[in-house]
Amino acid sequence: MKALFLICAEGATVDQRSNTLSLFKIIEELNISAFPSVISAFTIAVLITRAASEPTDVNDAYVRIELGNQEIFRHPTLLRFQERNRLRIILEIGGLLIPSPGELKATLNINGQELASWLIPVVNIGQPVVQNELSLSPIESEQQKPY
Amino acid sequence: MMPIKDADLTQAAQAYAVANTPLFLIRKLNEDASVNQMSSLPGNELFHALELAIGQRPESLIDYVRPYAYLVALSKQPQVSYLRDVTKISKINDWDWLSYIAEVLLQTYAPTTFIKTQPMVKPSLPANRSNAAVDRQKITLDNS
Repeated sequence: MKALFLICAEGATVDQRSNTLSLFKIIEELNISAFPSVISAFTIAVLITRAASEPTDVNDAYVRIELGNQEIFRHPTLLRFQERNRLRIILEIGGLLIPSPGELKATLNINGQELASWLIPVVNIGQPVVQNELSLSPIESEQQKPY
Repeated sequence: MMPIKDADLTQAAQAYAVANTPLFLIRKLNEDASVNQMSSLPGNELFHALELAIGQRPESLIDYVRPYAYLVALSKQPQVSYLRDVTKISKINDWDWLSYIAEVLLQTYAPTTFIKTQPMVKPSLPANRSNAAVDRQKITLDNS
């Protein structure tokens, strides 16, 4: 069994007319200003192929997300190939909690073995500093210059 | 959900009337809004309607396109078993292209598993429902 891809995006859909998969806003990096943070739209899309000799149903598969060495999400996934050689999986997570910065890794595992993964650096960009007093506009400050 | 007999197959019939190849008909039926709407019906209901349509003598252009429309709608179901059973219907070869179209749809079928998880974050309870111990102190303001 082989995964052709595992990609994390904000959304994924299968077009009814053409039966093709589309991914929207692929997540390459997460820039977060405050932790913990919640990612409201997080979708994992996987395309798996199997050899004809391999089983058509796989029960012990799961999708896992870890941040550093900490597991933050795990979901069992029944793989039903329906006697076909390819299978798409679209997993929509309603609100993914990110506790801290680090390296986020989404994986598909079968029999405890990692089949595919997608790495996302989670960057702490820091909170904006509160500015209590606004400086004068450049024009006004220019006029108030002593010279 | 609309009954299958009420599906508007006018556009599908028009496509059938001008179809010169089975692949053209598949493409047109895949794009048909009524066919897409029918695909949300239960698979057994669609399969039964297809069996009936194949066994009946067509009296209008819509009756002619009916089996093809039901077949394409079946190919959009989450399970492939009904589509596979279509090829076993004995009268399928009485209809032009129907057997070939069923085979094409079966070969191009791509199973997709959709999973949607519940939100991981639950809204926190309001503070006034906390059972935590509270230390209360009375503060008196001195006005002097």
